Amino acid sequence: MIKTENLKLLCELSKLHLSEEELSEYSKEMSDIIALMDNIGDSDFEYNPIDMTNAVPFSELRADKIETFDNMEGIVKNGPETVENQFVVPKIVD
Amino acid sequence: MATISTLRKELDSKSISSVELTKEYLKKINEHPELGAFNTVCEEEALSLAKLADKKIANGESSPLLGIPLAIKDNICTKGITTTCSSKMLENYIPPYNATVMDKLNAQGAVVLGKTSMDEFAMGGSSQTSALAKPKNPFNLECVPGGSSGGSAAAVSGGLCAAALGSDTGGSIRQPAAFCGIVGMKPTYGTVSRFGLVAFGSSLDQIGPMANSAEDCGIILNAIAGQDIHDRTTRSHNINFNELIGKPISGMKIGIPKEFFGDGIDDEVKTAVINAAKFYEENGAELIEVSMPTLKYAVSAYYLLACAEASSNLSRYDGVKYGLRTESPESYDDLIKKSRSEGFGTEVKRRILLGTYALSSGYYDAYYKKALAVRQQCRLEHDEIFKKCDVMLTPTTPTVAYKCRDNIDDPVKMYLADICTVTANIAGIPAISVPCGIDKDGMPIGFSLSAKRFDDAKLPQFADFFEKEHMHPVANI
Repeated sequence: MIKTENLKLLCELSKLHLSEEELSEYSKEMSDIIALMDNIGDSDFEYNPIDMTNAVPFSELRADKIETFDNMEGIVKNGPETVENQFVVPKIVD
Repeated sequence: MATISTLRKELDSKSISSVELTKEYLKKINEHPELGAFNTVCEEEALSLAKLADKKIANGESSPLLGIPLAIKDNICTKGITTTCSSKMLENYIPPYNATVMDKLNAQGAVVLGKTSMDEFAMGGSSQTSALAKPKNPFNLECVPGGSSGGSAAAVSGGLCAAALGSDTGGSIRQPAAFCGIVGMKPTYGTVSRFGLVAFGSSLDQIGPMANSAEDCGIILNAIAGQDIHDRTTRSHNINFNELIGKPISGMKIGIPKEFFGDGIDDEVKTAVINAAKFYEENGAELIEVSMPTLKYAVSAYYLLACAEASSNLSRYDGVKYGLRTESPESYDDLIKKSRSEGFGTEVKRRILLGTYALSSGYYDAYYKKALAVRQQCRLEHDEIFKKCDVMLTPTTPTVAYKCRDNIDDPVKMYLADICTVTANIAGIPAISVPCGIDKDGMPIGFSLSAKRFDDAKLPQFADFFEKEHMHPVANI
């Protein structure tokens, strides 16, 4: 069973907030899920970082050049709070 | 159900116009809200695209998808049209750009009818984790259409569009295709650009077609595939997905992996899939028993890899530049935490937590690295199998579509149901699901064919051969 304290740490790392009730519910569910994942420990395969069969097949890099995006207005429109093409967030430094 | 190839002939011979066809589909969409297939219907835009297509046809222009009404999964960015991922987080998000596949469909003159509902952020196998429309199975409205591309499957199966785009990270095209009695194909990883596909598991995600025939899947793939400067994982290739259709299958070899026919597979599904294999054998193909020992670790490896990637990919939703923002946050940190907690649903949170767990210090080697090792082994096993055979044949799903409430509260049961589809994503190979009958309650059954990487054209070939002798089941709506 995943302890509540460990789940709280995972929430912190994941930037999620769970209520006490949710913590207890997720604790049980996450324990069941991790028990399912545990069977991977029975496999005796070793990861070979040099073997490229595991790699995503990246094609060649494209040229590193700046391209102007023609729909800045469209980007700003999606901002929850904007002022003069800038995104507003709560004060970070007093 | 009308196929794209049939509609093409009708449009080109002017026995029907694209506007008439589009109106017909829009009418059917409006008549069937109970299917919950669409999050957004683009009536005005669709009709204006249809008018444009009719003009082009009148001028003698033609391309395979010109004037064909299609539906698009709601995690594919459509410029100026909401792309919600069926999440509260993106409920009001209007992309300022098109996904590459949308640009390619537009270049062919396809008509976009709307955006189809799905599991939230493509995380699920029922489409019931959607925070918006919850699609239902046209064969039985009490049953799920599968997921995560459940809205696309319901729309095609219910006759609400000619075909649709879905996305497949662990079976999200093939499983709903099997549940709804249609054809769905996930191409080789790297054939279709993921630019503009909202990311879930980037090393596993692929966009693909869901349609009424294997040939239609090939037509759509021919339109959307190709190397893209915006997606570095796309490969240069010249696959003509339909070039082998009609070629004989006699003498070709079909691998039957014994592990896919074990106790977890429903008897009626097993029988229908074995009968499909026998059909090929009776027509000159050779069946070969093959083995995939890594299958027993596949679900764990898939969930560890996909969730690890999702936990990273979904970190972009912080309530700052787009997406839901909580009201009155007390601090910057509070803004991020509360926005994410209010915007994401239960299943998305579960997967972010699992991914964070697998990547966290102390667990990385035991989970994430082990999953990478299983992935490596799984790819090697596939390479060996495809040295012996042309395609591999398996069930697409362990059961037929289940009732809407059946698995939703049991994530472990839900994850285990992905056993038949995840290996294709882990190995990056192409796979197609084809209808092969119905169970005693009239629910569709599907079988899957897979091939080695970039051997995609063999799948429409084999699927089409089967379809010529076996009618797809038709939903009674």
